[in-house]
Amino acid sequence: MNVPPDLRYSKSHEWVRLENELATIGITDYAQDQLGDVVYIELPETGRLIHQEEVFGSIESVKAVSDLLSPVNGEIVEVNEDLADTPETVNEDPYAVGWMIIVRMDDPAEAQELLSAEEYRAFLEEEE
Amino acid sequence: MKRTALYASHRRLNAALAEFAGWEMPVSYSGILAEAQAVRRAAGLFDVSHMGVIEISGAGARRAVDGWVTCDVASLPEGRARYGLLLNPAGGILDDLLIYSLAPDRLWIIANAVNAESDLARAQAHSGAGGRLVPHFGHIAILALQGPRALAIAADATGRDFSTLRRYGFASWRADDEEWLASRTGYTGEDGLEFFCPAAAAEGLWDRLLAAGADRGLVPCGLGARDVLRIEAGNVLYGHEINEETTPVEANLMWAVRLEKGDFIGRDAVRRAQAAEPARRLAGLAMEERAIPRQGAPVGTDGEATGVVTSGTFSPTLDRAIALAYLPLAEGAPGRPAWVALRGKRRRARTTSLPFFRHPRQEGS
Repeated sequence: MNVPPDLRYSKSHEWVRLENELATIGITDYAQDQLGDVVYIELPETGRLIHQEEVFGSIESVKAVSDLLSPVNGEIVEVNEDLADTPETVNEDPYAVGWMIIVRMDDPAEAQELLSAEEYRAFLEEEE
Repeated sequence: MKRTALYASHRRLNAALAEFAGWEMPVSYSGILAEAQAVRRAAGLFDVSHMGVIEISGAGARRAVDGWVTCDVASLPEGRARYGLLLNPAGGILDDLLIYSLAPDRLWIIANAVNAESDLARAQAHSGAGGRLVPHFGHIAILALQGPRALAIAADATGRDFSTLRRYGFASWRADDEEWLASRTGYTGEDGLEFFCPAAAAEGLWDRLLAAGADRGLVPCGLGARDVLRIEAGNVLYGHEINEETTPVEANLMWAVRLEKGDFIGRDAVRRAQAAEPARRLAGLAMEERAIPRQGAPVGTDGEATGVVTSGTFSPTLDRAIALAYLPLAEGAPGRPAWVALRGKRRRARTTSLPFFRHPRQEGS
């Protein structure tokens, strides 16, 4: 499984790319692999306030549907609208083209408590 | 978990494996939707060796099977297969089966994996001295080659011409003193063949078919694609559309029931069910919102839920989510607005005629 070293991770298999107060969020390679063919993604409107572990959307594959959980607290400032028409990009490129939302964090320091790549890898091994 | 003779091949092909009816089976290799599309456009190869082959032989074999299966076995010509149902006395469906007529005194019954043992026990109980029963579970491998290019690939791989077979017809031959069989049957709504061969020969046949189809778009396919394709084709699956609580009338399966052939288990109940209007009937749903109906989801066409989803999937052929559902007779008529409750939300749908997909070349046949 691809676990880029420069990202942070949640135990619900979201990744976070941190840039100052902005957090770009998507689902991990492991998550997309478990889901299989993604066919529908529902994402929120920009401007919504979101709390850590709150549902911000859903992702549905042929096999199953799952909630998407926010790894951080803040305001949703950007949404990847392209995913509605090209949900398969989450399978093909989960860490780049398949990003889902950008959140302006209330307190960027909180994000340091998320899992590092090394910790997430260890967590995946426990899950297996 | 039980493994088919092709387990090592599946591992080599990096299949995602999962438990199905006690068997460790491939769910997908390259992706469920890509595999389903390959079958519609070119061809796909499936391992369905988990299905159970029961042989019944003897002078009384046909009469015996006719006593507990809904289709007409007595008239089944040699070299043909026929679809039938095993019912309980109340007309509920215990399994759906294919009956192969190998000789006047020799039949094969192909059972769903999940029911193979119970079907065998029932066959034994109901057939009495009428026939000798031999289960071939695990000893006979079954490979389904499906799609518009299936016959050309099969001809290349085996050196045999199957194009003269009619739908539900089969050819059998002996190789290395073992019995082989290929029938023009399938579950995908496509033309194609199902091969029955000794377990020891399965890997060789699998490899030969894949090699012959390599430059024709043939891909190995898992049970995930098989489910998508059978839902598109409107084919029922035991445990979803059919079970002991459903009758052939409700499941649109009266074409597989010959009431006039003589007595069989469940006949009187089916006759009564047919005379009365069924309370519900299997219908098709096409989603108008982006959500896949799942088994058990409530369905309605007005205020209250009146039905239930039995199977749902995303159809790559129609590029939308579809479902099979039981609805009251009047509500299931095609073209009505409907809804499916999914994760607390009512999602818009429309009732449609079945099947969702019919291959253009098969129209009118």
